[in-house]
Amino acid sequence: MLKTYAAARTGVAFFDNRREGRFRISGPDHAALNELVSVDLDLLDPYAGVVGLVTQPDTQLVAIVLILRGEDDFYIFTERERADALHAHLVERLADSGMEVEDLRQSHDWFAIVGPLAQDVMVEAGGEDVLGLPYLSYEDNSRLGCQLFRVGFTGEFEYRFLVPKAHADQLRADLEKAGAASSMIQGDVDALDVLFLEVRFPIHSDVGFAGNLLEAGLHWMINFRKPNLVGGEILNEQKGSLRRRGLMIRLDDAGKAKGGDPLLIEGEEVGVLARVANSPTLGADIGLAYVNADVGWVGVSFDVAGAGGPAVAMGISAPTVLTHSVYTS
Amino acid sequence: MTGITRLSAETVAEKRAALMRRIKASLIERLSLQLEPDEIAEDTTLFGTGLGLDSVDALEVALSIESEFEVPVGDDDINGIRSVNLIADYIAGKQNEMRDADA
Repeated sequence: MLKTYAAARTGVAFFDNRREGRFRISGPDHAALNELVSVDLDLLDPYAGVVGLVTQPDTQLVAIVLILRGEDDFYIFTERERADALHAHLVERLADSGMEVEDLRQSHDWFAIVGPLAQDVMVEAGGEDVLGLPYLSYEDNSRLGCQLFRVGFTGEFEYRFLVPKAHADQLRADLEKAGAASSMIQGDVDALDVLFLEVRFPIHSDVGFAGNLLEAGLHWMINFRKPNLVGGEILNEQKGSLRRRGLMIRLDDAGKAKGGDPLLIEGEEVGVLARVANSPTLGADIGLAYVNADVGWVGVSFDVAGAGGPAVAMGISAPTVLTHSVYTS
Repeated sequence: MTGITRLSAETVAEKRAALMRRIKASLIERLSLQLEPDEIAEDTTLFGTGLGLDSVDALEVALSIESEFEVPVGDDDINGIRSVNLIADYIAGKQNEMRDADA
């Protein structure tokens, strides 16, 4: 995992994301789909995308999703752990809408290259033109024989490839060849967890420790101005009265704390760690915690009753690392 | 053990919260954001997926910091200011530097 991490932060890594969820939704009217998501699909231009939430009407989270609009369809992607739940939800809720849900896990593979050198690989594989692809958009790329997405959830450059299974081996070989000059490696998808955590990009399991979506800090995935926002009345009530707050923390000792450990002040529990990972860039364990709103702020210190022994944590700002791609962009 | 008391924790938290309110209000006004302060989470990235600001907006963010908080923003510093929380860190750090220089 360390090798993958280093490649993604300083070079480039190839990820086989075929276990992640990927769906194509098509039909004459997308109103029914728009009712299921926290963002306004009417505001999306063709070939542009947005990160949002699919929720139940009571705001229970189904999945964190990347949605991109095509000419007459939408692509929806989600993490592997939520793929089946999202698929079931879409099929059930769109059953009478006239929209069709196509599970692309059966027909297409889903690859990614991530890192500050990802653009170099893309120029080698696809030519200079691919650099003109805007962030959070996609194109049908005939040269690569796939749909090419420019995204990015780790703070680094990232391109993704949705490719028919019959052509997947060829594309993979082409990318490996193009990546050779950049020493691209095969990445371990488990390394993505710490890459996400360092920039506080959320995963679904984070949210389970929070009381609600806003305590999890997911405001930016919600369009509060959207007409008929799913769960809108609840979300608008919640936003001014958070009982807990999501807070990034840095631990003074590595290896002592883990997800589920409580945070204390003067022996009283004031929060809980949702997850902890070692950040190679920072040389320290960092974590995401949910802390009582009156003390859950950057600069506040906490005792951690860690399973590996007591530790001290301090609230810090995210993103916790300044990525190389930021410097070069 | 931190030795921190609840009172001192609440004092740190209140000071940070007050700074956040000023930063958010300043950003909303300067960038004409169609958002209310409590619709912006402190760690939301300013650029890309978060608030969706661009390089032109980055200059406005810098001007907002300079005018509202009277701290200079260097050309190289703007790259490090990636969220509302990091704006607060930057302002607090610069204010400390300026206090130390005056002492």
